[in-house]
Amino acid sequence: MKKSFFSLNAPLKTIKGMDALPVNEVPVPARLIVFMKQHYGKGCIPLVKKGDRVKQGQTIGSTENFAAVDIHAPASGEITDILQLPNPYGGNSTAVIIENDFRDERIERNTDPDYLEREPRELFYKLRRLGVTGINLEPIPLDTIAYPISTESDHKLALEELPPIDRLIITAVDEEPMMASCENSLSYYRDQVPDAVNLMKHLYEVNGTVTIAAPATKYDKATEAAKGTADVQIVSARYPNTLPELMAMKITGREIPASGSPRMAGVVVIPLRTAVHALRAVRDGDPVTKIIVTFAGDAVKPPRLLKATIGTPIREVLHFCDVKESSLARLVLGGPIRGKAQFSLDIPVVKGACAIQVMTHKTITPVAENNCINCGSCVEHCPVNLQPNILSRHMQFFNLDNKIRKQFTACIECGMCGYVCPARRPMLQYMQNAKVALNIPRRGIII
Amino acid sequence: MIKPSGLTVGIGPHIHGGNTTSNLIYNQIGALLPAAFAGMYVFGLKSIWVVFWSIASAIFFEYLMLKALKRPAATLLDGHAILTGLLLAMMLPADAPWWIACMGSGIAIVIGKMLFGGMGCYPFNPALVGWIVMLVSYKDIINKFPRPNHEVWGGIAESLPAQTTLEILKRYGVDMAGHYNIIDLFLGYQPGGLGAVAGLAITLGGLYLIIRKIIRWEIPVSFIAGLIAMSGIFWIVSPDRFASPLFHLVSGSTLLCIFFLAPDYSASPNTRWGRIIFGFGCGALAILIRIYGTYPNGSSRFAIMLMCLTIPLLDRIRPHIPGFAKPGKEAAADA
Repeated sequence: MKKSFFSLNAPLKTIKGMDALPVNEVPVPARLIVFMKQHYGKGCIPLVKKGDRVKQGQTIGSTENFAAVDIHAPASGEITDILQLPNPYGGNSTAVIIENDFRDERIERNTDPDYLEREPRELFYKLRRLGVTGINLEPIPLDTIAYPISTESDHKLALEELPPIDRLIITAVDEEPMMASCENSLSYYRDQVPDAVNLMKHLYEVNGTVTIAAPATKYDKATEAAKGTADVQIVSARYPNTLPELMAMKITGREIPASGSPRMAGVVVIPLRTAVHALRAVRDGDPVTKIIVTFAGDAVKPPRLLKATIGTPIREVLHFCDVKESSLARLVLGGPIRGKAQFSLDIPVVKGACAIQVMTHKTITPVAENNCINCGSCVEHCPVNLQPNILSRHMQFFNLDNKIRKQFTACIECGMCGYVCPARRPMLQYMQNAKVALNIPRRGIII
Repeated sequence: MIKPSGLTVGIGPHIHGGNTTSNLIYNQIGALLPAAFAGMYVFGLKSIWVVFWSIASAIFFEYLMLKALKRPAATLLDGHAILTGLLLAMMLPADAPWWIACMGSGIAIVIGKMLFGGMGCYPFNPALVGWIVMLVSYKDIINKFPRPNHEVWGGIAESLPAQTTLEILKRYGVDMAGHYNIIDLFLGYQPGGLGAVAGLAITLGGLYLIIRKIIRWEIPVSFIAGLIAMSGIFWIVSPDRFASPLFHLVSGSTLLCIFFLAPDYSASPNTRWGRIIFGFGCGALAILIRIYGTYPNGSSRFAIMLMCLTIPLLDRIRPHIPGFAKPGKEAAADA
């Protein structure tokens, strides 16, 4: 990213004008790779066998795990193989290969116009069965956001002690720079915003304010789209402020306990895209098989917004956008800060992916265990007031104890320390390694 | 089905702000160059040899130490050795013998920097360590400064003893020091270190660094505030015994300390309030050393060295981490 002359450590900004891009639909490819694990929890068990014919929207994998949702066939066709393949999140998991027959046979949708009269419990169950999740890379079902799993953690907060949900924030802001999918959903799903807001209000039994968080440039559009169902609040579109924890703290003024999710302060943060997916699932019975992703990075100019079918290999997306495979040096699923780098172009689009970043050699910054020069950039940019320079050295020399554990617990893994580090230390990796070494639960999933 | 495609993998962030260590250091060197040129202009071209020997030996000793400590020699390219050598040369007299420059740089690099573990680990600014060792070892050479070149200026300083303004203030009182015009002092027409006296050039360089956020504004601003506050108290109490705050600000190497020596990366606190207290303490201590100490020449530099001792404590002054109870509340809960 180009840096400004006046501040060598300029924090990130989103690219202007990206949200106004038209959404192009990537054609469904001949062969789809559908992973049984596209969420945080355990992978689904395949319900189909090799040689079966499936219709578009048919459930092909299911599980009752606490942070898992069902998987559906994105296209009609024949199951040619079920095997273990390297998952984009790491490790191997079962994948179902579907040979597309291009007949586009769809299973009958189970529509329900009176969805607002159903019990939230019933709706949550339906959402799981229709595969609706959040939008980070290891997404969790919507009910897990409201009722997280209580485990042996620092807080030992019982479920009964959770405060009632009295704030609901629906974000139309992208979590990371070089992403526009969420901002764009304000225009793309314009007509469905009021219904989606009402559904979320009903689902989480909110008896407080419902807020749509939008960047300043989208204020008018958001007010128009909300049609009075929710207040619109302008939030900063600069990177670390767009993370759910920080946004919730800023909008509500409440403090979220370290390593907890916004839910522990009585706030639920739902991306607008997820809310619309949920609406379409409970009203029209549509499972999540297509998602809008931002296709950006310095290998593709200008950036594009694509509607891609889950299971489309990224190679097909590259062909659709006329990007040369040889120019690529790195492929990242997710945002450019917290996304996961992939080793292969055959990796498919997955449910939680909000963006695909393709980068050339020019962008990639090699990192190494260089000495910290103590410049203080990371301390200045840390959104939760930590001292990453000292913490990362604790990890580097494996000097971890209970006193330092407290500070690692507060880290939200935003990656700003690594972004500004002039010595190019793998700061985010140090923080994540320390969390694993100290047995600190991942933020936002488990209380 | 899924085959490697020759892509690189790595952990996020996959994009970077674009800063490098060498970028920061070379910008500081660039910001120092105007002051070095101003010093050469004021003291004559012969002073280039001091700069040369100082930088050359700093690079040589850093290379030796990197070899001895089995570190990659590529670290030399980050330019910190050049910066240390240049900073030391700025503080030396313009006619210092070559071996003073070499020895000072060697001590700065070997004892001040590399033995502590290199950049980022040293507790004191290496250039200051080198200079202070040379000052206490070769007091007569280090403290004997040549007169500025009067052919280009023709100032009134010819009639005054060839000592730094601070020493004149200490020995002969405020009347004698008052012969110096503040503007002359700011422009660099005063006896003193090679580049340390060129106030205008140093200030321009310092402002450049602050505007580009290579150094933070807190230390320079609070340093000046501490200096003015402390000297202002003395000056208001008795203007005929003590010099004015402005005189203190522009004489000797004060400005070099404010913009280049105090805001060193390793040897300064990391948090905002830590930096503000650090700078304020440096300024206030410098004035106290000037008035009550015996080394008026190195007052601000000694003040920085003393304040460096407090850095581990100042680093603990940090803002509240969201998600944890505030310290007061925690104590109340424990009780």
